[in-house]
Amino acid sequence: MYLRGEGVALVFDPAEQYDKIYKYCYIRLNNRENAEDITQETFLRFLEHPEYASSDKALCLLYTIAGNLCTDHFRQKKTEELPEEIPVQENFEQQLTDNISLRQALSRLSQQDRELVLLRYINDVPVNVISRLFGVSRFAMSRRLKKILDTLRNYLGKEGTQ
Amino acid sequence: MKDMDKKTLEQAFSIPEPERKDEFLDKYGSQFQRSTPKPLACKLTRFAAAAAVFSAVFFAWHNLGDAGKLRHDPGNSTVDNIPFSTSSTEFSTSLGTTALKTTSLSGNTSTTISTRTTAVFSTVTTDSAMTEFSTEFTTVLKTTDISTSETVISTEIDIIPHEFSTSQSTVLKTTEKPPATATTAVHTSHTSVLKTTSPQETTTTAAAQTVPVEELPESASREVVPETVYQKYDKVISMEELVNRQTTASPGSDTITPAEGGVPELLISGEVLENYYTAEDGIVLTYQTVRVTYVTMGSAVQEGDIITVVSEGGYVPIDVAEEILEISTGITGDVSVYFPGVADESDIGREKNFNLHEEDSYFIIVP
Repeated sequence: MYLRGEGVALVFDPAEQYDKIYKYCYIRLNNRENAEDITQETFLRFLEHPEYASSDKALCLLYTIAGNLCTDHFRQKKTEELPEEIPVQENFEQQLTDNISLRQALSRLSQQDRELVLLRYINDVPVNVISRLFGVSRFAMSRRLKKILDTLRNYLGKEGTQ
Repeated sequence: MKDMDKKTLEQAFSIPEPERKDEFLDKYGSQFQRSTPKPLACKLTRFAAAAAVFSAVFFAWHNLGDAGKLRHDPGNSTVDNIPFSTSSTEFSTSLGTTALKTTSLSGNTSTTISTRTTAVFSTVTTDSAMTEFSTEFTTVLKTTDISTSETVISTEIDIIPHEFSTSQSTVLKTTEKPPATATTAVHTSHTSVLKTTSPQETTTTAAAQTVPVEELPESASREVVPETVYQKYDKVISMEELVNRQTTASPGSDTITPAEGGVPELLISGEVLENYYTAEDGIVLTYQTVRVTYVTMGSAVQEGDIITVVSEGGYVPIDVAEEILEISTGITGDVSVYFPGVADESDIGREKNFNLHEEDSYFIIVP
């Protein structure tokens, strides 16, 4: 137990969250170099803010910073909008694995839905944090995540029968 | 989601590994571990103060008698029943005695801290309207000069009993007793129940508006019961109170946002037949079975239909509440925690107006 106001160790593991923030940035930017730059910038900016005793608030701040930096990156670089499809994978061998169907199903989701899938089911971000990031109620976010999973299952089901 | 599914999903995203992670953490990793150790005695003093305040609350609670009259029984550490009405129910918690003796780093002073905490909680079910009550107290912490050989921390309590009021500052919340037929919704907690009823075929001979409900043609039943249904126990404490007991509350304990946004597609009046309390993804929900009595706007339902209306808020067992709020209170037993929402136990048997948005199998309330 620790009390607010005292100097305390951070409420999350930086190494673990580095990977997660990097994955989120990569999904947004689709570029490893830029994703890593923004990940590091995110953590440096996070250090400038007051400490949070709550892990959820700290996570919310991390993802807010990362999201804003990704958005700013697009504005500065004036790059084209990301295509809906995930581009050809670098590792060709991976395409031959059983994950092809899932990858294709993911590619059919909208960019925002892919982000939600990554945040919730890979980065394990709590629903209340995601709902705050997207400005919707927790109930609405929970329903949206369920719909996304149902959509993925439908896509996989259809591809399986083809 | 299972670990294997998670890994499969992660592989499907095909995200390459970062290349500069170790370099960054080597350089800045130390900045993420900041701590300013305080002297041990100060930490223990703060802990003792917190414990003393906490014990003062329960001590004050224990000594409140009928109609706010004080009852002093300082030497009694047992749990007493303090009924407020003939139909009162109670639970109690005893936190025992803590005693702490430490020696400061320099070895020149010693600090003795002792507290006794015995708590009595009473929940009251009355036959009158909603009743809320609270109590105020002031606590004085007195410490002697730390340069002396011994420091004793004691508390003085000035209890100001409150008359019963209907203010919104809730410590314990009692609700009007619903009709007997509706209170005993027998659903064992943590059981899995999945019940869906396929819509019944409706006849084309639509009933006239003046036909009594019993004589209407068969209406569609779209009742949805959640997989996990929690029983609402007689002993209820509010979410706010649970959170206030902790020094580090999870931000998930902030007020719910029932507003879903958007224009409602369906405006109806309906009689609430049943409440099912559950939680999904850490969100406390109430599924209300509603029989449509009047349709103001929309065509998704007709009069007589049975639908399910889902909204945030409701009652969950204490262990589920602690898991959702990521706190630990030590409260055990059959206790429900109330998360504020638009649905309530008192809705059962009553007719309400609903602004609804249709989801796949149920409806949600929109403002």
